[in-house]
Amino acid sequence: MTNARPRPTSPHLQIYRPQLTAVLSSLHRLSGLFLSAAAVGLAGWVITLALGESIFAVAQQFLSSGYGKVLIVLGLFGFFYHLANGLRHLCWDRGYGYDIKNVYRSGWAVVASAITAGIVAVLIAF
Amino acid sequence: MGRRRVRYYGRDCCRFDRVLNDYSGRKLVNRLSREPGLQHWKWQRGSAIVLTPLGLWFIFQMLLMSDFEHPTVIAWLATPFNSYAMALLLITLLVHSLLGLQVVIEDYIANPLRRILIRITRSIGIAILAASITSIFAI
Repeated sequence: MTNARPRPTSPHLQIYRPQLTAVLSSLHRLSGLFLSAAAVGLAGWVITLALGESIFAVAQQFLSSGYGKVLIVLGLFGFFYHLANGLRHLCWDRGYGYDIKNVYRSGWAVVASAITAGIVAVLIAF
Repeated sequence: MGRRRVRYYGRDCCRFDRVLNDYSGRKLVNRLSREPGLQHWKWQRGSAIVLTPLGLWFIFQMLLMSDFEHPTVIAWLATPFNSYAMALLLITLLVHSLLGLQVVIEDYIANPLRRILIRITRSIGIAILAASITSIFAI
């Protein structure tokens, strides 16, 4: 069998029109990965707290730098998004909201609540 | 004595009871569950439900913190409620993270490497968890 004509492969993500469902699903995984790293950071922060004032000061210095602030903002938005979409998943697990209309409705509700909560938290934090 | 071929355990590759039974070739331990995937599913949902109030509590506490000087944060963490809540938060957070990372590894990484990676992430996660819990109660 020759491969003169390559067999079709699927799915072609780059020509696929982004849909809310797929975008939110991958965002859930992406925010989960980011929050896992943040969880390690949180554990590290607690450890520096026990290691003493000078080491804790280094951690705080990093967190109040530009990079630190960007990570905190991303973490806050990621947290609220992952939380809202996680609750949506729990509703699905109970069997609610499976029809297309409600999937889109809850999807936009997740986007709206995550952005609102994220903005409020960032405004309070800085 | 021939070495038994140990099969891949799916979402449950580090289940102690199954590993022991498979390696020994006899039933040393009673199986805890016939459906390891179900255990994974339940723990993921259970930790999510616990994390909802705990995560919100932590974010609120951080937003309400007057400053992040060492004595202030220590005083906050030293109260019994806060230290136990923080310990519970870290445990649940790490469990939820490890379960999630396991699914991501299973989805994108082929088998020989997959099992090793799942074990490595678990070991790192448990080490970090132990260190941070010790830190909380050492303060």
